Formats: sequence, structure tokens, C-alpha cells
Amino acid sequence: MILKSNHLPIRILVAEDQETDAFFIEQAFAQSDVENQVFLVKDGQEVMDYLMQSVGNDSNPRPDLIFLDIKMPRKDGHETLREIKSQDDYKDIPVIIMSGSQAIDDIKKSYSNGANAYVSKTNGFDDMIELVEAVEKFWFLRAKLPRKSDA
Amino acid sequence: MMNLFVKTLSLIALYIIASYVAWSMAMPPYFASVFWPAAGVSLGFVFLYGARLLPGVFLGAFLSFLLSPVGNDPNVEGLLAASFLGLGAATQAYLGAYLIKKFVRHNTQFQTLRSIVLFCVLGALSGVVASSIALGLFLQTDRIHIDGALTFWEAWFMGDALGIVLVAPMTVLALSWRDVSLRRFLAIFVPIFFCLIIVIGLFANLRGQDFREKQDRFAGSVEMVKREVFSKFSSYYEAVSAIQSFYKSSENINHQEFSTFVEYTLLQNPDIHALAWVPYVSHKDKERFLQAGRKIYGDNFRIRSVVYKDGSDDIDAAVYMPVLYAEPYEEVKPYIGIDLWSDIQRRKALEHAKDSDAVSASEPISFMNAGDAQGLGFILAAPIYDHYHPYPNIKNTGHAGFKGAVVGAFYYHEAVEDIMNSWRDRGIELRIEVELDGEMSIVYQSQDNNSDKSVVDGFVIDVPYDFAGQKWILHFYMNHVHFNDNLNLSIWYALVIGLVFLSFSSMFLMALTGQSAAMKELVDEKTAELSDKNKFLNVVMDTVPDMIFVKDSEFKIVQANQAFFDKYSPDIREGIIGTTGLEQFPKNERKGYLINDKIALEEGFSETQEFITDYQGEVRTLETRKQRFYDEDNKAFLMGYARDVTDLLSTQQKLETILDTTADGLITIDESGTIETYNKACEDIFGYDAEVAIGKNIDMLIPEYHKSHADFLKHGDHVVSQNRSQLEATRKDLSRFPIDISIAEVKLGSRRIFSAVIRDISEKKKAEELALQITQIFNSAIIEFYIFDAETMEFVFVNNGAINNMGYSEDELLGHRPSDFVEAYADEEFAVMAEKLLSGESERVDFDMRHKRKDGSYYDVAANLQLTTFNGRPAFIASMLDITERNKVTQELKRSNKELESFAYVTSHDLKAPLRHVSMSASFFKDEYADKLDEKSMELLDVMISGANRMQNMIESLLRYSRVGRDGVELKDVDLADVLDVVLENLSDDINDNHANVNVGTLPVVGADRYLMIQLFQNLIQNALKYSKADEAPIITLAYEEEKAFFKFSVADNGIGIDPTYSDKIFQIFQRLHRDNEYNGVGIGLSICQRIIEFHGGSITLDKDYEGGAKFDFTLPKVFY
Repeated sequence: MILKSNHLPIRILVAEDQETDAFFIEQAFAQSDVENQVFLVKDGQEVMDYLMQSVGNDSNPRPDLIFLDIKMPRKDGHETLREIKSQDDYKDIPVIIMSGSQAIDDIKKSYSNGANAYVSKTNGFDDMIELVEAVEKFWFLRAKLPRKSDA
Repeated sequence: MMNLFVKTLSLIALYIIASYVAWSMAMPPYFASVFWPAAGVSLGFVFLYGARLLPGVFLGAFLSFLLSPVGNDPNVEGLLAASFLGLGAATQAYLGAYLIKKFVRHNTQFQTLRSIVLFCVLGALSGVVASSIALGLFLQTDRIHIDGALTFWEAWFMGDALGIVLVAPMTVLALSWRDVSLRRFLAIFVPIFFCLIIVIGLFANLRGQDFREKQDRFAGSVEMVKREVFSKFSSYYEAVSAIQSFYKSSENINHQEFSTFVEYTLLQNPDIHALAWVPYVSHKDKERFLQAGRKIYGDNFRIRSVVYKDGSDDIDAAVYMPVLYAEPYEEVKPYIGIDLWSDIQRRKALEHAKDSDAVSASEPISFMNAGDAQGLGFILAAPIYDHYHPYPNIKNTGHAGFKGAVVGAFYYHEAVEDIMNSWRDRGIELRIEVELDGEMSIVYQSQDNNSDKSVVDGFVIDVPYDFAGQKWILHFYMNHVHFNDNLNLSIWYALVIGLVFLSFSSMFLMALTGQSAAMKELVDEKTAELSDKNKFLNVVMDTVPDMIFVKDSEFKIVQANQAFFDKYSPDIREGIIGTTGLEQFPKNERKGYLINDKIALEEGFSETQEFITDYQGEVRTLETRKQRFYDEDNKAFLMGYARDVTDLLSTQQKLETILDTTADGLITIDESGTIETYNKACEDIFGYDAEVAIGKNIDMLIPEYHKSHADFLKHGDHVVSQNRSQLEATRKDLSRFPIDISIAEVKLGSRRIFSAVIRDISEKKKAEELALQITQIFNSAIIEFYIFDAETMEFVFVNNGAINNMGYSEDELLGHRPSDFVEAYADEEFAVMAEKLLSGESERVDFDMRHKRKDGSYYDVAANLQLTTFNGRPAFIASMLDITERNKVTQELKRSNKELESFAYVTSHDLKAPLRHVSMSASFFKDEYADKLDEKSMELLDVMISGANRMQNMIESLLRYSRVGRDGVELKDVDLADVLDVVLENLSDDINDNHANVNVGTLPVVGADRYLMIQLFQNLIQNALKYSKADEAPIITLAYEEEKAFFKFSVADNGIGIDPTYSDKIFQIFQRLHRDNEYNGVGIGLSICQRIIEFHGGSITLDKDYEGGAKFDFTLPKVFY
């Protein structure tokens, strides 16, 4: 299922318990060609909370894309993903699992739970930027959104 | 003896006849004949009759020599010569015969070319003997000169050789005429004899013609000589006559006139010795005459006697006829005054002249001044009378007026000699004879210096010559040396050629006829032999009880023996010859014979059983063999052989049927152990066919037979006794097996044979042994075995495993039920399982059960239950495996694995995050603050990043390694071809960048985890790509072989290779053989490969012998357990 957003900036919800990672993800999105707005949460529970509050809430708008880490306190990525995909309200939001794990079990599990993509956390910042752009482009390029500079 | 005498006489006669024939053809002077058939005759006789005929040869040669033209003076020398020649001929004949017998054979009939040629060559060779002896003899006796020795020898040898070659074989053939067919005899003799006559006739004709030509030439020459001689004599006569005429025409003639007149005549005839005027002076006129003479010649002129005597100047006689004038004066001066009347020889001529008024010649006189024969001459006296007679044809008969005579002296001898000299090259000789006092005296002999006065026949001419009152005879003849020297040799050449041709012809004829004669003889011989054999064969055939018959290609009976006829009605017997004989048999049988006949005719052979109904109506069984042959005309015929086996079959068949249907092996052997009978069961037991085994020694089958039965075989009771034992026997394939053998002695008349009944007990033994072994295994097994009766459910067997594990003794267990020890067995569940087995619904039942030992402790078993038969009753057999320990271990393992897994997971995750943060921070730092950092700081940031990355990789690898076979493994059939497609796709960038060539052949399907397989092959190929040579495009070859239980793969590359000393190290984790910057990687790829392979039950090794790169061999089981 591919959703095309028709509004800008695209809103991205990132669930990442590790601040460092979160920082780099934010930075990467900040440097991306695609105009975006990142909302950061610390774990799966917060994701679910965010989503529940997002209805009719401008400060917590419904995300166009969710980045989930797997290993998170309280509610891990797998559980969160399962919940998102099991609720009709949210299941059409693309979820990308972004994990440091490369275990097959994790990958399989992610996909079987309905993840839209499984990407590995990168070691370099450049890679992270590339990754983020690739994801953005993959999902949104077809909307032919104008670039930031063009806006 | 008589025979020998006749033969000898015949030989001598033939010898002499042959000699005559030869001489008639011989070249003068007859020493050698170009053809000497006598030699052939001798050789033929001696060859046939042996050395006892040698005296005959000797005598023949001896006599024929004496009778020959050259030997016809039987003096001592002649006899001696004849003896030598006889000896020579005998020796030659003996030698020739000896040689021929040695090399040909004793009694040849010249049937082969070899015998003919050898006979002729060797015979001809023997001709050397006689010719050599003759040469010696003739040289010794001066009959021939040494110069002609070779020619002589050659001629003689050739004569003998020709004689032998032509005549000897004919003689032999003629003498052995009894053994030679008339046809052959005529075929040889008629043409040869005919040709011989032609040759000889031609020769005689040629020679006669030649002879006559010579005769004619001789006569012509003689005529010429005669004329010359006559003309000479006539010239003498004319000279004297001329002077006489002169005197007649003149009254008186003085000395001067005479000289002048005579001078001319002398000039004409220079060989006239003298011409003189001799007046007739009576005593009363002596003085007047002397005066007249002295007037001419001076005072010394006197009348002198012819006979010189000292001082006998004056002779006193009544009448004188002294020489008054004589010319040529200077030469004949001494004759002046010689009284010719005083000499009786001259006076005869003078008186004859005076009385006859005719010119008269004296007899030959030896003139005084010449002492040699050449001085022989004669005088011619022409009378002169006183008165001229006008009619000279009227003779003056008164003689009264006889005045004197004109006398000429002639050397006729010298003159004739001159003439003869000019004819000498014609070989003409002349002898002149004159009649003196009624007898003929030789007065001239031409210079024939040949001592032998033999005359050449036909070359003698006598010419009588009356000359001036003298009777001369000129005897001309041929000088035979000249004659012989001037032979026309071509005639003899022709003869020789003819004879040689004849010789070859005779040889050819003999060979030709000989061959056919030999063939005919051989044929006759063989025919006779065959007919003897045939008779014998017929007799033999008739005594044979089996049927023997010959049929032609139309299956008509040509010949058959008595036994054959006996099958037909005795009434028709021979009547069936020439027919097919089929009418005698029932119609339904006929076809069968015909078919068999046809098969034999077409295929060459048939062997069948035929059934015939004989004339007595009995059906007989015949074993028939028919064989095709071809006769001389290449026509096929059949030879048949049939045996009536009806009676034999009936008894034998029964016996054989019994023997062959017996399951036990039956063999009969004689005392030495030779197999005589061998039934069908034996073929199965020993593997040998009956045909092979029969006739062989029993040792072949039962090596110990003689040893183990020695006593029995030796003593062998007179009564039938038995001897039963177990032995080892050998099969055809040389395998050994136990047999049970019973031997019985059987007496067959005087023979002892042994019959043996053999049973192969190897199966039985094997089964016994197996049972024993199984029992042992059962007993000693740790697994518990229980057998309990299907009805009573009571234990009938328990093994040691059961006793040990349960803690009950065998006695405590047997006779009790399973439920007595484990209550669960009394449950309904167990009864259902048992019922399944009893009803046949399932063959085995597996279940887990908890057993209770005697001591009250429990243990878990994996049980298996099956239905079987024990001691003839249905029973359950249960096997129990104590799985208490196994269960414990499994659980423990599961737990620890789980712990490890979560530990590894958590660890890796938690380890990885900080590392990621380090590298991420560093890289972010580098990006964001690049313009604020110096070079050194940038470098250090790089070090930080790469270090963190490396650490990350290692952790990831470690995790991967630990996870192999743990999470998400799914074993199923994996097509490696598909796997490789994925791998190559994954690696396509790498492959393309390296320009690598990856050769993948066909690949099998293996039972494995697909993901692991991808990982395995990817790692291996990646590895190969990574460690490629810098300057060489990588070539990677993936291959596999199928082995019994596994596939054997190999991945080979042409890279930098691996030092074999590290062959084990390379599989250790994080073991790298290269420095970090040389080749990338953390050094866990091969470890993972090894782990994947081992997880699947295979193994991987480095091929240490592989050169030119690295090669890994690994195996994967065909089925994953």
C-alpha cells in the first residue's frame, strides 16, 4: 500500500529511544531535499499515544510516515507495528522499521507484521542522509513535490 | 641266367646297330659321332637291369669299335683301344645309372618333369666319362693331335650326351613296356621315331647332296688337271714333231740351222730339257761321222757310252746313235757324243721310232745329271728317213733309209709337279703309273704327305693315257685330310639341332604323357582302394545296429544299411531305393521327415527326434542326425544317421525324471572318483552343468571327499552300507558351502560305484548362526526387549536390557504381564494400540511411556510395539529405549540455547548502538564541521569511524555466526540452481567490476535451508572474488559430484591461493591471513560457511594439493536428517 501525500511538509513520526540516533535521524531529515516535519517519540507506547492524540490535533498532526526502532523500552517496535497495523485508523500509515539489528528473525517478523520497509541503521551520517532521502523519494517522489528551494 | 644272356646279347646287338647308325652319320674321319645312341642304350639297360649288364656294354663297345671304320685293323693296339673304349662305355653307363638312381628313383617311368629332367641331365653328365677316356686313348695312340683335343672331346661328349638324352629314356620306357600303357608308349615313340627318321633322312639327303657336289667339283678339277698334263705332254710331242718336220723338209741340216730352228721351240717350251739330233750311225760310217763331228766340235769329239765310265770314250758297236746336235747347247753340252743306242731304255724308244716311223717315248728315265726324283723324265724320239716321202700317211716300212732321230728329253715329273702344285688347294692328289715290262710302275706321286693312304670313297678317277707308245695311267684321288678339313659342318649342326629338338620333344612328350599317366595311375589306385573300402564299409555299415542312409537332394534314398531297411517291411526292402520311402509310413508322419530333410539340406545339419511307425505298427522314437554333403558335381546330398531310442528312452526317461525332480543332489561316481551321473539338483547346488561335471573328479565338487571317505571307499562293505557326514563343498564360483552327504556303495557286476545324496545345508547353517547372533544381540542390547503373548499378555521373553533397567530378574518378569509392572499398560489406550496391531491396521506402534523400576524410581522410554510370532504363537514384541537422559539434555540444551540467543541478541544490539553512535557522531562531525577542522582532526575522525564500523561488522558477523541454524531454519528441498541465480544476482556488481568469470554447471537439489544455502555459496564466491589476483580476471568454478550419500561440491578460483599450512586456521573465527587494508573483511566468512555446512551434516576442507588458486571441497548430505 502506497500512500501519496498531497500536502507539504510531509510529517514523519520517528520512534527512537536513543537520543543520539534520534538526533542524527532528525539531522538527516533536516538535510533532506524533501520538505518535512519530524516528530520524535521515545518508545512504542509514545507512538501509540501520539497517534491517538493526533486526531484533530494540529500540534500532533497525523504522520505521513512512521519510522520505528525495534528495540525500545515499554513497547518495542514489533509490538508497536502490530498495534498500528491492527487498527483501521492507522494501518494505512506507512511504517518503516529502522533497526540496528540485522537478525533475520527481526526482519521476517517486521514484514510479517506489515512493515512497509525494513532498513538498517547506518553507521555514517552521510549514509543516514542517503537512507532518509531514499525512503522519502520512494514514497513521495511520485507526488512530484516541489523542492524546498523551489518553494 | 638265360634272361641275362638274352639281355646281354640284345644289348650287344643294339649297341652295334646303334654304332652303325651313328657312324653313318658321323663326321669323317669317324672318330667322333655327333650322335651316339649306343650310350643311351647302354645307360637304359644298366639303369633297368643293373651292373650285371655292364659286360654287355663292354662287349658292345669293344666289338663296335673293332667293326668301326677307324678300328678295322685288329692288331694288338686296336684290341687294346677297343678294350679301353669298352671300359669307358661300361663305366659311363654304370656311373650314369648310379647317379640317376641316387637322385631320381630306382624305377622311373618318367612321369614327372623333374624325373625326366634329372634323368637326362645326370645321364648326359655321365657322358663325360667315355669321352674323356677316348680322348686319353686317342691322344696316346696319336690318332688325334693335341690341337684338336678339345674339339674331339666336345664332339664325343656331345654325341654321348645326345645319345643318352634321346635314347636312354626311350630305352627304359621300351624295356619296361609292360608297365607303360600302350597309349603312352605310342604317344611317345611314334612321333619321336617318326621325327628321328625325318631328321636322319634329311641329314642323309643333305650329306648326299653335299657329297655329290664335292664329287662333281672333284671330277671337274681332275679334268682340268688332266688337260694340263696332256697339254704338257702334247707340247713335248709337238716340239719333237716340229723338228722332225724340219728334217723331213730339208735334205741336210747343219748344226747352225738346227740351233736356229730349235731355239725357237725351246723358247716356246722353257721346260723342255733338251732337243737333239741323233743320227743313226752304222759301224762303217763311224769314222765319217767322227770326222764330221770333229769338224764341228773339234778333235775331242767322240762317241761315248751313256753309262759313264772313266775312259770309256770309245765304244765299239755295230750301230750308234750318238748326239750330234743338242740344244740348249750350254746346258746339254755334256750330252754331245753320247750314244743313246747304248742305253737300253733309250734304245727301246729309238728302235720303236725307227721301226714304227712314229714318235716314240721312252719309259721314264732318271736323267744322268739329276739324282733326285725330279730328274725323272723321258725322251721322245722322232725318226728321220733318207728320202722324203711325199705322202706322209703312207708309212715307210722299209726303214732302209733311217738316218737318225730327233730326240727330246723332258722332265715330266717336274712339270706334273708344277701342275699339281697349282691344284693342291683343291685336295686333288695324282699318282701316275706306267706299264713297264707288263707291270704298272708308279712314276709320279703328288706330294700327299699323309701317311695314311685311305681313300675318300667316290673321289677316285683313273685316266689311262697312251702316249708315244707308252701306256700311262693317271690315278686321281681326293686328299682325305683336305676332304675332312673342308667338311660342310652345317649339315652336322643341323643334325645336332634336330636331335636336340627331338630330345626336348621326347622329354616334353614323356612329361606330358607321364603326368596324365601318373594321374591315371593315381586314380586307378585310389579307385581300387576306394572300392575295397566301399566293400568294407558296406559290410561294416550293415553290421551297425543304427540306421545309416544317404538321400539325394530330392530326398530319395540312394543307399542305406541293413538296419535302415529293417525298419521297412521286409517284403519291399531294396524296392525303396530310389524312392523317398515315405509311402511306407502313415501320412501324418511323412511331413515331419520331409521337414527335417529340408532343414538339413538348407542349413547343413539337423538333429532331431523322429517318430515312425514301423512295419509292425509300433511307434519308434529315432534320434536322427542328418548332414548335408556335396558330391563331385557339387550336388548336395544328405547323409543320415538314426538310432532307435524307444526302449532306451522309456527306462532312462523314467529314471532321469526321478533323478531330476529330486531336490537332493544325486551323484554316482566310480572307484577313482569320476562323476558318472549328476542330476538337475546338483546343477543348482554346485553351479556346474551336467555336461561339465560328468567325467570330472568328485574332488572338483567336494575336495575332502577322498580324505574323509578313505576307509569307506577302500573297504567298502560287500553289502550296501551308508556313510553320512557333513563336508565342505566348492561351487563353480569357488565359494565354499557346507553339505550333508550320504554315500552308498553299489555293486554293478564287477564294478563298484558309489552313489551320493547331497544336500546343501548352508542356508540352514546360516539361519542357525543368524538366530544365535540375533539372540545374543537381543540379550546384550541396552534397549529393553519384551515379548509377550498376544492372548495371555504374559512375558515369554525379556532381554538383559530389560532386566537391568527394570531391576527385576528374568524369573520375576516371565509369566507376568506388562500391566503388572506399569499400570498404564492396563489402560484403554494401550488396548487400542494392541488391537490396531492385531487387526493389521498398523504394523507398528510408537509411543512414549514412563516405566517404574523395582526400586520405585521412574524413567521415560520411547517404546515400539510390533506383532510377531514366537514359538508358533502370535506375540507382541516391544522395544523400549530409556530416553530419560535424552530428554534431560534436550531440555537443558533448549534452555541454554534460548538464553544464549537472547544474550547474543541483546548484547549485539546494545553493543552495536554505542558503536553506531560513535561512528555516526564522527561522520556527522566531519560533515558539519569540515571547514573548522584541520587535516589531522579529519584523519582521526576517519580512524574513529572505520574503527567503529569494523567493530560493528565483527559484532554483526559474530551474531550471524551464532545464529546459523538457530533462528528461522526451514529444511526443505532447495534447488541449488535457483540459489546460485540469487547469489550471482546479489554479487553481480562485484563480478562485473572484477571482470570475473563464474562457471556454474548443473547443480542438484538438496535438502537444506534456502537462506543458509544462499549465504554459503555467496560467501564462498565472495571469498574467491575477494582474494583474486590483482592482475588477473578471477575465474571461479563451481562443480559437484554425486556420491552415495552426499553431494561433493568444489569451489575453485585462480586467486592468490591459501598456504596449506593454514588449511585449518582459515575456518577459525576472525582468523585473517591478510592485513586489514589488503583485503576487506572481518574474517568470518569461511567460519560461517563451515558452520552452515556442518549444520547440514557436511564438511568443508581446503584442497591442499590444488595449485593456481584456492579450492574448497565440501559435502552436503543428500537428505537432511
